[in-house]
Formats: sequence, C-alpha cells, structure tokens
Amino acid sequence: MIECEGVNYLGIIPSGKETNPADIFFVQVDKTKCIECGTCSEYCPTTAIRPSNGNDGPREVVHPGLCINCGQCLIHCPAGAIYETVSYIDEIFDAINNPNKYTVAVPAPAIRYALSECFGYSPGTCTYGKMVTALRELGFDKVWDNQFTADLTIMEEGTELLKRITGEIDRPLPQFTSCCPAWIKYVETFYPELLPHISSCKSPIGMAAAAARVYGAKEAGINPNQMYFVSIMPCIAKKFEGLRPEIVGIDATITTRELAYMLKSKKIDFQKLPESKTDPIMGVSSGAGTIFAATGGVTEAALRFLYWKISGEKKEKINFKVVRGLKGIKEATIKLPKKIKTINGETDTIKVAVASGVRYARVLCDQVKKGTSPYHFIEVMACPGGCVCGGGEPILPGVREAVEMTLKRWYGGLKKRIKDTQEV
Amino acid sequence: MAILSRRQFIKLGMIGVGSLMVGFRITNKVYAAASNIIKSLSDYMKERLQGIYKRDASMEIRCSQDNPMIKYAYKKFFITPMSPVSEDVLHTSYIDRSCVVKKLESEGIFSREQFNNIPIKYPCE
Repeated sequence: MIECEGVNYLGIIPSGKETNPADIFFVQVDKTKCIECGTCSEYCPTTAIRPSNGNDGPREVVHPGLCINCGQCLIHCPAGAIYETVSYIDEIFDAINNPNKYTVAVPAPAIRYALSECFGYSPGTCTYGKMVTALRELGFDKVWDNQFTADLTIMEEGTELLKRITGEIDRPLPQFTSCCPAWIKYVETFYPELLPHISSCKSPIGMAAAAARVYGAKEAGINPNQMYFVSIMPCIAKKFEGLRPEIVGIDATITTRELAYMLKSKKIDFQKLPESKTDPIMGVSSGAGTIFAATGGVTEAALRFLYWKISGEKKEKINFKVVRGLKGIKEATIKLPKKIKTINGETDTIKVAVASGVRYARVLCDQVKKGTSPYHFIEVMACPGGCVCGGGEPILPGVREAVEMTLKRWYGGLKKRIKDTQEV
Repeated sequence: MAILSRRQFIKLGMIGVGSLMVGFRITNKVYAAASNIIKSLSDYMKERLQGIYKRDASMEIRCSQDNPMIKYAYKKFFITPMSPVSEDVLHTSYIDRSCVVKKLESEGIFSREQFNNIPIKYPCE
C-alpha cells in the first residue's frame, strides 16, 4: 500500500490482455477506516457502494459490475477510507529505466489545472509548461498532449453529429458524447438500448494511443513496438478504459495524484522548474482542446467546429457561454449561421444539453428512451464539474478537514453537556 | 416636503427591515469566513473551471479546425474526418453489459427501483 496525495493505492498491476477489466474492483473501502457516515453513498450514481451488513456497518463496493469507477466516493470521503487498487507506478519506473523501451507520456487537459495544487499553488492554476518539464525530468522520452487528440475528437465527433442530423449516416439522434469512460460503462450497464446514440468516436486518449502507434511513431521516427504509452488522467475509470480490448495501445494509466507522487519521490522541485512545450507532432493544441477538462467543454468545442463547418468554413464563433458552469443540466438552443437539411426538412438551430454529473444523465436517458428528447447533442461527464473535478484529481481543501471540525464541535458540545449535568 | 401615505410608510419600513436582515446575513457569512470555513467545495470547483476558461481565452488558436498539426495529420494520414482510415483508427464499438445487472437483480443484490430513486443532485452543489 502506498499513499499518493492522501489516497492509498494497493498497487495491483493487471497483467496481460486476458484481464477483463469488468472483474476488477478499481475502488474499494478500507473497513478499518470507514466511519460509516454514508457520504460515499450520497455521491454514488449507481448504488454500488453500500453498508456491508444490510443497513449498517462499514461501507463496501458490492460488485465490480455495478461500479462505474467514477471515484466520486473516493474524493469526497471525509475519513480517507476509500482507496484505489490498481497502480502502475512501479511498472512505469521500470519502463523509464529500460533502455529498450521508448516511453511516451500523454497528459490529459485536466492534469495541468490540478497538479499545481499538490505543489502549493491555488486551485485552477495552469502549470502546463512546468508539467511538461517535470515529465521530461522524470525520464519520459516523449511528451505528447492529449489536447491534440481532443482536437482530433472534435473533428471526428462534430462531423459525425452533422452526418447524423443530415441523415447522411443512419444513426439515431440525439448523439451522446463518448469521452467519459465512466459514462460509457454506465450506459453499457444500465441503458444498453441507448448504445446506438453514443458517438462511435474513441475518447481522446483512446485516439491518442491508436494514433501514436500508426501515425505519431512514423512521423517521429520511433519503433512502435518499443513504445510504452502512459496515459496520465484525472480519472480512475480511465484505468478501466485502458484495459478494454477495443482500446489498443495504452500500456499504463495513472492519475494526477500518482503523477504528483512520482515527482515528489524523485525529489523534483516543481515550483522551480522552467517551462517547456510538448513535442509538436502530437502536442500542438487549441483552446477547444483545453476546455475538454470542464463540464460543457466538449459541447462548446464541438459548437465552435459546427458553426464554422455549417457557415461553409468561413465564419467562426468562439464563445458559447450558456454551456459553461456548474449547473446540473445545461440546455441551449444554438442559432446556426445557415440553414441545414435534416431528415424531415430544414433547421437553423440545434439543441444541446450538458449533464454535469452522471446522475443528471439519468433524466436525459429516460427522455431518450421515451422518445421525448428534443436534443441533437448531449454531453455527459460522470463527475460534477467535469474532468477537472474528476475522481483522480487531488482531494479538494475542506473535504478531510470537515470531519475533524465536526468531531471537535461534537466533542466540545459533549463536554459542555457533561459539565451542565454535573452542575445540576 | 411631501407627506408619506400610509402605504408608502409601510413600504419604506419594510425595505428598511429587509435590508437590515440582509445585512446581518452578510455579517454572518463574513463571520463564517473568519472562522476558517472559508469556501465551500463548489467554490473550489468553480476556481478550477475558471482556470480553464482563462487559459482558453489566452490561447492563440481557439478552434480545433485551426490547429495546424490537426490539418497536417489529416493531410498526411487520416485524409478527412470519418474517412476509412479514421474509422479504423479513431472509432470504436461498445459492449452490452446489462447481463451483470440482470444477474445481480435476480440475486437481490441490485434493485432497479432503488436505482431510479437515487437523488439526482450531488451533495457538493
């Protein structure tokens, strides 16, 4: 068991392609630390985490099939009782030290906004340049950017949406996003009839891993067979995704917390690092790529693309502020620059919805099931706030302190009451 | 000077009392801030989001289609979005996993009714 940024890791490395990720508990409860407060159940979107003996007792994840690995229970547990089982840290250090392996690090957009918190910066500080230098200092041979493949995702997903609307491909509307692996497992498990609505695009990291072998390696002159591809994610569910047989080329997945641990264990002084840039071939990105880390970001990025595409690749509109913010379900009707043909006529608006947190998606899913969904495009991120508030991010200030405060207050109250009764 | 009507007097009085009460509430909040419970979770979440939009606004290229390396990648390898190469490398399929739920339902470990009754709001909001 190692501790990374206040969260424990059992350090299991799932080996080989035979491993079925659906059989692994990625998140589990340490029953000796559980204070039975029930906060985890209040965050769980699927009733997977429950009291171990009926209505009482320490919590446990009852079955890996029910858990979508979002990790919301873990980042909100006031007692720090919930831990992760899978950790590739040792394997990554081995690969870095192995001269026959060419290690590639691909950090998600959300890493650069939260890694800073582990090194004394305030929440939301962007440390892109330092993060890239830090990864090189760790010994990675190449640092590419998942924001590049976020841009690639928009090109593919935006085109797919347009083709669904115009009827060029025979797939139903609304189109759901496919970036969030916890959301994908949620649909696969609880709403399988909606699978045709999910965009066929891989998630940005799925695209990155596949493209790195067939495109990136060729362009950069790397032997794809020697490549060791490390995905650095704000997410526990990405570990599940990395083990899916349909997703090829991901050798290891770590969270923001584990990256911070690796940097600290190598005594890298993060604050003093100079800034540098990702390697260009799969490392240049746009603003649309970086907002993938926020709820509503995929939608806004897709709208930027669609607006331009529909205007005949002439006009651009950048800001779609209606889809930003922490509201559970955000809806918007977007006016298009030109009319487009649809299956039944024409339209000059498209309707979008954004679910910030997979619990809200249940409402939208039920609408689609009933056939009453008015939308063309629906974004779902399993974590409220989006990836930047994901299950693999550093624990926010106040989560762990809250229980201490309550305990002290309770103790104070008790002491007073005892004193009062003694006086009587 | 105009003399206040009864109605205006009550209205003014109500505004006065109201603003006093609001004032107290604000003091209360400041007091809470001073006693170390400075921000709620959602405030921190908002700060993280603000960091992202600040960065987005400061970037030279704002749209995916303007990214020169994306253009290069399509020119060199992927041809166009959803071309056969793109479909092969960048697209995927999904698995129906509902049999697990059905099995757990028959064993009494999972209940669809309980699932449908999960509150949709998260406590951090």
